Amino acid sequence: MDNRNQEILLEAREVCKYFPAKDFFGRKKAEVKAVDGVNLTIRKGETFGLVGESGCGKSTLGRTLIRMYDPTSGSILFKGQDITRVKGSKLLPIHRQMQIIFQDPYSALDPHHNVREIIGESMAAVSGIAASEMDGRIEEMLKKVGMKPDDMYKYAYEFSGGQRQRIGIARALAVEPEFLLCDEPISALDVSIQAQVVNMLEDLQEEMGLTYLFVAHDLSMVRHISTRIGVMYLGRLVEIADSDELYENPLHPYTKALLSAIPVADPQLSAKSKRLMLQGELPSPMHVPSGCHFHTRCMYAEEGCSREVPEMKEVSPGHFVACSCLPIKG
Amino acid sequence: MMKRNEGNKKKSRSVRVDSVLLSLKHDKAAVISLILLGLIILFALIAPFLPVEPNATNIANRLQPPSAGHWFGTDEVGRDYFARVIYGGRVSLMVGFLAMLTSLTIGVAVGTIAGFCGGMVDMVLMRIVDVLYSIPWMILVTVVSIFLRPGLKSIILVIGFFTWMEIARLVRAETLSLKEREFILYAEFSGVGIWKIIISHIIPSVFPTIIVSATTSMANAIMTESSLSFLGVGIQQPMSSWGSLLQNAQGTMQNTFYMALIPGLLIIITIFAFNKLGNLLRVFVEPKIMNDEKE
Amino acid sequence: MEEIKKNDDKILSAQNVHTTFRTHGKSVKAVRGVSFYAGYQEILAVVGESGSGKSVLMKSILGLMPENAEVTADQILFMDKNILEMTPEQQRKMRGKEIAMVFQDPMTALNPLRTIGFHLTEVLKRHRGMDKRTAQKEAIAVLEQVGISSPEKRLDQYPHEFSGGMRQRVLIAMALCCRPKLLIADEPTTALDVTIQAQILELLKKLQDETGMSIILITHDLGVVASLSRRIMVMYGGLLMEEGLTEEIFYSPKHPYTRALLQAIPKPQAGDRKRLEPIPGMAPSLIDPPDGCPFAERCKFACEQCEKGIPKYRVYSDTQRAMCIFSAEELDARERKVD
Repeated sequence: MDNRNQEILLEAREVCKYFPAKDFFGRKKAEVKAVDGVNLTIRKGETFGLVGESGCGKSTLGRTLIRMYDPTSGSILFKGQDITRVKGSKLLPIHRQMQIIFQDPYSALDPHHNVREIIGESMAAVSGIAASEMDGRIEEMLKKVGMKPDDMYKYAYEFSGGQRQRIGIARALAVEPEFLLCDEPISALDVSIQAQVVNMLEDLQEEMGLTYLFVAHDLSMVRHISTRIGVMYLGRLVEIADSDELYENPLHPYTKALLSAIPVADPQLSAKSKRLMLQGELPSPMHVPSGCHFHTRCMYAEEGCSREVPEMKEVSPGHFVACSCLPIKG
Repeated sequence: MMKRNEGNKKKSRSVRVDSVLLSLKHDKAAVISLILLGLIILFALIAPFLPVEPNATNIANRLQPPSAGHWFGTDEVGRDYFARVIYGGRVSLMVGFLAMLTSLTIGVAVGTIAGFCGGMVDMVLMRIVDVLYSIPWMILVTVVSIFLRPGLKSIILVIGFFTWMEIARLVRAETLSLKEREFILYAEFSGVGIWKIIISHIIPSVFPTIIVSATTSMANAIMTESSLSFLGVGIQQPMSSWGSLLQNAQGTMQNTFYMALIPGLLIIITIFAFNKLGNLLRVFVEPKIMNDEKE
Repeated sequence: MEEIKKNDDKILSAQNVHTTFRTHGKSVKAVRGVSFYAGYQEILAVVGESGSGKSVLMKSILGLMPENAEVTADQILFMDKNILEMTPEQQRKMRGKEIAMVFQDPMTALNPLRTIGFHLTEVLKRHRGMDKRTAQKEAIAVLEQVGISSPEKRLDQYPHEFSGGMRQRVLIAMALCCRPKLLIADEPTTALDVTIQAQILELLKKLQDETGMSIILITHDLGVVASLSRRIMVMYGGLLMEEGLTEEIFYSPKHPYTRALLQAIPKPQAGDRKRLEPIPGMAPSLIDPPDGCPFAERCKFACEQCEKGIPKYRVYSDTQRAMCIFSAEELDARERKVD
């Protein structure tokens, strides 16, 4: 499980993604700072889990890293190559290596296309594979995700949510990428199907040597599938650590609150555990608090927290926290 | 679980036919009007092959009531009214169809481009739509008709060029919401070109709206043509359309009210039937996107 | 505080509920013979995945199903009154005053054109006959009860000015306005973030303590239920698979589906990387439900007998029963053999 010696596949340096909020005349009146200075590295073969609640920017970060969105500032390196400013057709070879699967199986596939067209379209555009080989490859992918070659001619609406998600996975992996952004891929599925999809993703990762960025809000599932996890709040990473380390030894106050809020599927354990309640409401991403974004709800907040942006420090090997008040008592 | 073979294309088509039949089952008015529309269209198409002569005048025989020789009687210059009505229908339907095609093409093109490209392009196109829309089109169309040489071509162009705005707005609205759907994002991500996305993804999704708009547009075009001809600025003699027949019938309403009733009824039935057709087509085209009723 | 009733009295009990409704021209047998009860002052959890019939069951009991739905039952008693024998008018009164329901999506349950104050005072005026001033005072009190700060200011605000969690609190406040004896919450936290979810669940627990009302909590999330409910009902394919006390369900589940569900969710304290045990296949279609046990085609213990007819219940204690032809011991034995 120790990936520390593997090469770095993807690196983000001070990546920012801001969205202008326009007023009636199209003038910029405010900025939504969806991603506000993120640094992270993802190594080959690992699964990096990215968690946080609504509005924290995790989806935006993922999509920016794979260059679906253009970053506002900062730099992104893929396999050592700077891909921050690449545009137009030069992005295609990158998108062949970095793919995405979506959360909503109902809007991720065109309801008017059959499976063959869905998978074939991106294959043709991104990888320029020969038309004669395409059908063969599609059949192969369908089998890999546990579906039948016959399903090629069916339309998306003929399948259930879990099956549509498999089609989405087949579509992404058909071009043989190295990196896959899983953008909340199981949130919309039933519990019993979630396990099917997660197991399949794990198998495929081993078989095809994939690296995953797994964006999710279901913390128990994320722990299960990830090697390392990053916690985001209002556009910034507040803590990064190995999966087990994060759950057993969370250091940032937000991480602690988040973990204690996870419903525990065990009545006795649940009764014993102490809930760390967060006060107040999530601030709007249009008016992020100054300094440490979390200080308005933090029970340990001190004066300096509203002025300084805390730096990400490595407090133990592989465990990074962005908080000025460490070590925290209590 | 039943085994599915490669007849899946057939299966999805039969689902659509089933839903159409189901809609029809509950709507007798639709069935009747569609049958009548079918007959009207049939007669319009085979008119040249029928032994009727719409232009043969015979003053001696003017304004005869319906008889064996002249099913709808004769008009004020002795022409067979049945023939006039059939050929009139031919003209009305053709004008409606071609005008509809014109406005549909312009409307869909403008709507998809404005919706998909956004920004400046969208703004300019939509301001044009707003300006055209704000002019009461009846007046606009009438005024323009007076400046153009009255006739078949002018009528088609005028109606076509001044009724595309509504379709454009509808298509643009749908395109705007479609643009955010993840399968479109993914197509852009994969490097699929703008035109290919519009033609391959957006138009099929917008198709139900287009089809319904087409039938409404057709109904409106027929109505507009009839109105214009009724006012005297549309179809000119010796050609007839239902509207111009209506206009002619004004003079002799006292004794031969049926001369107004017949084209009037036909206009109403045709418009009604086209609207119903629009509903059915929407049911046919829309795939059964299963709305999961989360229990 | 209302008079305290003994826990073995039932505030709501239903016998043999069947619900069928039509959609897309097909007949869906959403609930196929469910009998259950909710006790006074307890929190009952109804757990099941989509298509299990859990929402439809509650809506059927309250008379909230659409016109074309067919709801039949041998008996539905609410506080000893038979709902089936009530007129629609009486049912409507009961719905507002004695039973309140909170829906899943707070965005669609509130009228965006009306203030929060309006929503609350409407309910108070209609069901408790208050005049405007008293209603406003009461509205403020209720908003405080659900933990909304500066309630006086909030009365004049509109739904879009509230976050998801706050809106859910408002819905709960609206439900509380009538001092209901029974609150039915349909997936109240599914659309919310985990920390907000925790707040709402704490709130529900606190309210139940304070007011003594009963709560029926419909959810698909077993975790949510573990800390909150006293009893759990597990539904699948339109039928009640198992019911029992929360500890019984979690620590000694008797039905294969319950067991499978517990094995499919990642365990919180397990640092292990054991593969999740998914449940293969998919939920059955309710348009043409199978003749036998609905779970048979996905059950690893299933045998031919299972598909012949719907199994009878095996009763394990005063509180626990499961619908399976195999007893828990037989399942354990088979489990060991498989390992």
